[in-house]
Amino acid sequence: MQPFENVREELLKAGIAAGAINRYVIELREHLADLTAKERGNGGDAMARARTLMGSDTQLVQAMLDRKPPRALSVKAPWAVFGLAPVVAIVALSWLIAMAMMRLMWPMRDLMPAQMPGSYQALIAGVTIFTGYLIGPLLAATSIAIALRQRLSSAWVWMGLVLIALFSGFFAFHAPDAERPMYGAALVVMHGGRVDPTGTLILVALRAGILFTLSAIAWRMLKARQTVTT
Amino acid sequence: MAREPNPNFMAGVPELMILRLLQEREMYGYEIVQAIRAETGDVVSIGEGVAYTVLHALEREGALKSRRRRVEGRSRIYYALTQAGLKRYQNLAGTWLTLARAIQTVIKQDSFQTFIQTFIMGGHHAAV
Repeated sequence: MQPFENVREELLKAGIAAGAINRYVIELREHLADLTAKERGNGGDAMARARTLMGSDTQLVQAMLDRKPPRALSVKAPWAVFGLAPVVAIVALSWLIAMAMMRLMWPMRDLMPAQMPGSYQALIAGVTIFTGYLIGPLLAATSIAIALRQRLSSAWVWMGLVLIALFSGFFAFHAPDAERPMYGAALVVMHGGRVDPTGTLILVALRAGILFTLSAIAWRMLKARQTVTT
Repeated sequence: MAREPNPNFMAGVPELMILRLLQEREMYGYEIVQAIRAETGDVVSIGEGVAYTVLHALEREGALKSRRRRVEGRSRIYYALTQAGLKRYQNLAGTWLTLARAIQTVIKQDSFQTFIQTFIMGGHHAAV
């Protein structure tokens, strides 16, 4: 284990911003190297002596906490990081992408995607896959990475994964088809020109269920591995 | 054993020392700790690892700025004083000088009274 890793762990658990901790640990290591070089002149185990002179891990952790260092946003406002931010990102991205696609496809507004040139069809397919199958998993992975980095086990992480699954299950770009003649940012099942609430609910629940299950398994496994290694 | 930190009444001294040293030139953490020890004849010593928490706090408050520099093959974070830091140093130094003068006066008076009591009043008493 590298020197001062325990200091890092304790400060992360105390909710201090990871960037500030990283800087502290880097400087402590540089200081230790200088002090070790100086102590070499005195013979014996210079490294051990230098490490003792630096102070115990507890002293170093307390020294930083006493100076009121910046706290991580995910600790200060977990509701914003794990709840609000991903929900806003999903809704805004889906809506903006749908608007941009509608504008781009305006000259061909009377055509169905199957009747458009190949490049447009490829673009529609790419955007559909991105908003429908990638935004949710990417945001879930980001939330998990933030929680792991900050050693969090807050209920907000679970809440965030549920919200990401639900919102990304509903919001996604869709191109016109036989049932839905418009471009849109939400997955609504339609039959005979009318919205099918049950069908929509089943579709959203299915999509959300799959994403939530996969992200929950990943979160539990990675958290368990982190607990073992630290 | 880790170097013992100074007692509670030394609170604020590390900041003062750091700001004073950085007034002359930019320095890195290890250099600052060694310079404080050398310049105060080991009377003031900042814990080897603790100096960085002071430096970071001063930087957050805008009194210092830092940059990474490569010197003799080693990359180090150098700290320099800002205008706000210079102002802060002048205020701190002024406060400390006033305080030190006041304490010195009190201690001198105390020493004088002790001298009077021990050698003059005590001597008079003995004579009686």
